[in-house]
Amino acid sequence: MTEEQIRARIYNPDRLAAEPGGKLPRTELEREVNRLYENQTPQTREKLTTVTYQYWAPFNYPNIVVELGREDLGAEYNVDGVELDYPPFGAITVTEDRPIVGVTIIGSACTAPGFVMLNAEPIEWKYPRTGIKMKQENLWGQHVNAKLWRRGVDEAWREAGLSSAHFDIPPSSKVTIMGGSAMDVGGMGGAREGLDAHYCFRIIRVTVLEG
Amino acid sequence: MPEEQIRARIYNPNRPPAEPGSRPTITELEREVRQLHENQTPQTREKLTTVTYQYWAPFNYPNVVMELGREELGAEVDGDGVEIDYPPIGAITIAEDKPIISVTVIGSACTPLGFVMLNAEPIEWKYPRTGIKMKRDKLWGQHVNVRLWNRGVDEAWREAGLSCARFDVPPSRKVTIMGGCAMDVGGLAGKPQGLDAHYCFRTIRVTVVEE
Repeated sequence: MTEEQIRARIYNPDRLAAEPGGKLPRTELEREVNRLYENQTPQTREKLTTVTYQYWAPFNYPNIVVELGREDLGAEYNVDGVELDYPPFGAITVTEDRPIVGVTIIGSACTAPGFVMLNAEPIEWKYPRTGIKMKQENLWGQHVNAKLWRRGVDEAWREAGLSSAHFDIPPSSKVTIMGGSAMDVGGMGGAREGLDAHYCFRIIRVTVLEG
Repeated sequence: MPEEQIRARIYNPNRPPAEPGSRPTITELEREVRQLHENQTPQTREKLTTVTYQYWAPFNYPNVVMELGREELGAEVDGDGVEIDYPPIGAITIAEDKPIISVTVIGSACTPLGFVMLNAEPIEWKYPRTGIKMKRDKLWGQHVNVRLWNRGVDEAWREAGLSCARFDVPPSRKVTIMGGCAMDVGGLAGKPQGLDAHYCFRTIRVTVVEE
């Protein structure tokens, strides 16, 4: 399967391409907000009954695809989770049968602060100008670097810790999660694997609509 | 009860300490992610049915221990909540019978920006290099300082407000929450109680897994 087929799409596949330099033609669905406003159509609130599924590293689930990325640059499965290559190379894609309305990530940066990004593919392509692309950054908390660990530094060290990132999203069928952390000035004297700008994913919680 | 028994532990008590300068020996449980990956063991997602408990200041609950800290430095129970001493002196610890998966704190800084920290003690000690330690910082929102209040400034003042911090955590049995805020240059002309680098905790919501 190609990356395009695995990952959540972030643009409306039903919208026609624009003429060069011309305005993009909106689909009928993409006109809905204006139409509801112009017609003063009464709206009815939706009641959301949800269930949350919890997924743990290494994410060996039939509805999850892990793209680890470049192992020669340090992406790996380790004892604390899945340390993905930084975007756009590493990614975790989760597909659900029911509409996804919330996603929570728990993990740790290699080099704090960390960041987590999310792309999602909506159930309905109704809103033209954003795509479901979100980012949480400045996440405190990193795991103890392997070189410190080998010298006896454990998780009691003051810089060791976790972060969590919660995303509330429009109802979606698929989400692709990526992440990374700071490109520190230290490292391994120029060795490529010394960059260590990864984020280590441990738990993913996906909240879907039940009713 | 000594602080060590009250608060959530942040390192694995089952792991033998490392010899000086050598790597800690990880436990069998701490090898789980690698084993699951190497054996390509299929995983089954967990369905989380949750309930959220709400606790209000001053936190007179049998499962909550509030350590106020140094009252001579301004820690106090006041009209807006519990203004605990800054870390690690002041702390609020909550223990639950069911696994805690999320904690939300609502409160206000004495001097913005505020920050809130969380330590948690996991149900299973499976991940060696982080401990469950989290932090949210740069929190907008402060209560009206008492000296301004005494001059008639009320909560309509533009700088008066609240903040909230949500932490999603691996399933845990106990959480310890701490907080603080900016060490401002103003104050009471050098008097210790003028420092006012506290965070005032009002509401804590704890989400636990029911089944």
